[in-house]
Amino acid sequence: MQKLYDMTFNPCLKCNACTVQCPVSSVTGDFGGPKHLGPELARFTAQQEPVIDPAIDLCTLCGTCDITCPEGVPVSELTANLKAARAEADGTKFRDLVLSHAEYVGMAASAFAPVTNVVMKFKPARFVMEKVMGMERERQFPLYSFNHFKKQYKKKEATTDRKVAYFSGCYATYNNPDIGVAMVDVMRANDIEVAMPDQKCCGVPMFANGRMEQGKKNANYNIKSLLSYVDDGYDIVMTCTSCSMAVKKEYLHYIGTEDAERLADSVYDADEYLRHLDQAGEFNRELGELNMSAAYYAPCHMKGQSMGTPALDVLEHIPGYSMSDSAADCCGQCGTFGFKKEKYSYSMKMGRKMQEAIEEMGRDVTVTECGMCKNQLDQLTEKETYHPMQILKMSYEKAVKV
Amino acid sequence: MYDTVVIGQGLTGLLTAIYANQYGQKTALVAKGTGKLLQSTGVMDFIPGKQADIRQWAEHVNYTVNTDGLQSAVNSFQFLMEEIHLPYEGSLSENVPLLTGAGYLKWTTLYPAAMKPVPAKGSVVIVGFDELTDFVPEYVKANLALERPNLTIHTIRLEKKVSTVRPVSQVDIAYRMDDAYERTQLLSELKVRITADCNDKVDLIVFPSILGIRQHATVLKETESALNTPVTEAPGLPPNASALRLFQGLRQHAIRSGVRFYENSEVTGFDVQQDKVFGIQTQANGKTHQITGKSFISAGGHRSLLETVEGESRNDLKNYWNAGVFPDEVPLQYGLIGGMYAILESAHTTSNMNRSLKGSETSAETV
Repeated sequence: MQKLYDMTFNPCLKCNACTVQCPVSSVTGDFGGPKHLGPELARFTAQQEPVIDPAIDLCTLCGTCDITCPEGVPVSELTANLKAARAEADGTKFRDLVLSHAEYVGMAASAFAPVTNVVMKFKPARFVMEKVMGMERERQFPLYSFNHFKKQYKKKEATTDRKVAYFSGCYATYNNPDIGVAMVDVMRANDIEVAMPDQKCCGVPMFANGRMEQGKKNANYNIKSLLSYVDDGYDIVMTCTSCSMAVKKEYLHYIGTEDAERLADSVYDADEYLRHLDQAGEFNRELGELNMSAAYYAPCHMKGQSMGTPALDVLEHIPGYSMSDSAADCCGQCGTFGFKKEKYSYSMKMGRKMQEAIEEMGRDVTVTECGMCKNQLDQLTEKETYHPMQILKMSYEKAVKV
Repeated sequence: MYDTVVIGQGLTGLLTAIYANQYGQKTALVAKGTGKLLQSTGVMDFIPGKQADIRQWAEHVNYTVNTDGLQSAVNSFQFLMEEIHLPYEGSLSENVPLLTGAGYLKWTTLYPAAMKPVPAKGSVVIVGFDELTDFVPEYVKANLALERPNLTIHTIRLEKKVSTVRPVSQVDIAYRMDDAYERTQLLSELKVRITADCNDKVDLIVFPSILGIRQHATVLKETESALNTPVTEAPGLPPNASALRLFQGLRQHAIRSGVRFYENSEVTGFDVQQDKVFGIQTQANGKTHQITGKSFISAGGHRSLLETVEGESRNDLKNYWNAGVFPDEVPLQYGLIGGMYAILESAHTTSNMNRSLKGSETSAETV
């Protein structure tokens, strides 16, 4: 909640830079936009009861406003406060409760994966989901994997000099375990063993759906579990950029303890970690040739981490492989946002711009870290989408064969 | 890690990063937010908001102008803008009068092709939109009539096109103009209105800054051909589509050509050893990051960032340059250095850097 003397909105000049760059505001007039619902509303209601504008539901917390503001206003913190106040005042829908528990959905859906995947494609089932749950029937859902990553990889400790504790996140665990496998193999190629600490969903879907208390519970669980590895000399590595953003940014914002800070300092995105190794002269550059051109799609939650674009810095070492950033804006999937019926049309309008950008690039494949961005890319583009770890794995495998 | 690290994402920073990258330098751009570009109109003045030519500017900033250097910087800029399909008109030899959203003339040096000089006589139509309260055609007309007494001025107001839950801006309409269907509807309605309301031959049609964003080139072309008359934008209160197009165009070009963007990153320290900078520290979400490089260019406003952050002035550094910094005694309008100075400094600084890297003046390439 906004604190009594929180004046972070004060430098706002009302120049609208955030609003014109906002991916949602640029496709619809139904959303008040970051300036209007962030600094402007906060200034208007400072030191009095907050005014809750229901249009705040359209804020996806992508953070583009923060990286845009020429005056240094933390815009998305102000819109996040409003989203939280709205959830508290009006409650959340059953549908949002389900979406916020991506992990439980993942566990259940994976357990019956062959059935789930078929049912999710089945028109009457999608019709029922739309009517009962408010999930858009036209939306393609990610597949679930019966042999999920936690079943495949149970190693609890590592014995190499550098040790990595892997936070796989719901997507790599239940939907696309191939990413987890690739990550472990890439680390092995760099003489690093990977351990799997006990972990729960990072909490991002909960924060995004107004389930603040559950989100904080998960955050505290992860902080405790992951810090015990940090204390044993492990580096914490993540392949999902929304999970890594949660620990680097949201945990500091919502939990804010010394432990949360200590964890944030030990967390790396997988490519960020490899770039770190490279700078220390420890990265295995024995990479095999890949004749492939790729368009990189940068997830919003990657951009918000202030780490540049480590996937480009690392993958450029692969011989024969070329990759350029498509410079596309938000894909419109925005985690759980794009599954919701009432948000689907906005999601698609945003998605079309991303689709255009990917088509303009004219590359063989698309590469992105984010599973949810991949979901939108899979629905709207013809190209196959990979995680950077999958590309690196392919390259290392070629090097071994030669 | 990087060959060149550019700090700042205003016009100077974006151009500097693009030019450094063109010289074959592996380039990173580090920025807290965006610069003043999105708050501007996208036209290039010598002194922001004032009519000034090279000579007056040189006097104002106490700067020795190398006309050839300035011309070559302008050439680089215009070449780049052609490449990103956002051509800029104008030349160093004359200033031209553009119309502002308040109806006054603004004299400037370089301007996007979507804007045209206001004629002294003839007939113009000013087109407004009911929902766009920042641009009032009758007000524009009254002020323009004072500046251009021999001009016949018509006004047309179009009925509400865009509904928003907040005040409508020029950019909201510009995004709609990107849509082929909405554009065609609007242009055919406007054509009927102009034919009905204006009984003379119209020489110029004035719009607020709404002529598209991503599809701007198509929007401009189709608008002029549908109305069979030259059109111009009169930019006013931000946000101006003219500024957004410039910002997005440069940014997209920089990213696609390989410049690495470190965003949301406030520079909090420089790692200086003897006469070289080895890296910078940035602060983001309470976490400190290190970015290392071989050369550093500060384009973070009108002061040297190293001086601001470290509190000391250094002139002996071998691999650090300031782009777009004035001596403290030069008065700056609203803290802005001006588009022309950004264009000059970005080309000039990257060329100096390239020369010093190559070790000799003769081997320097042009951007």
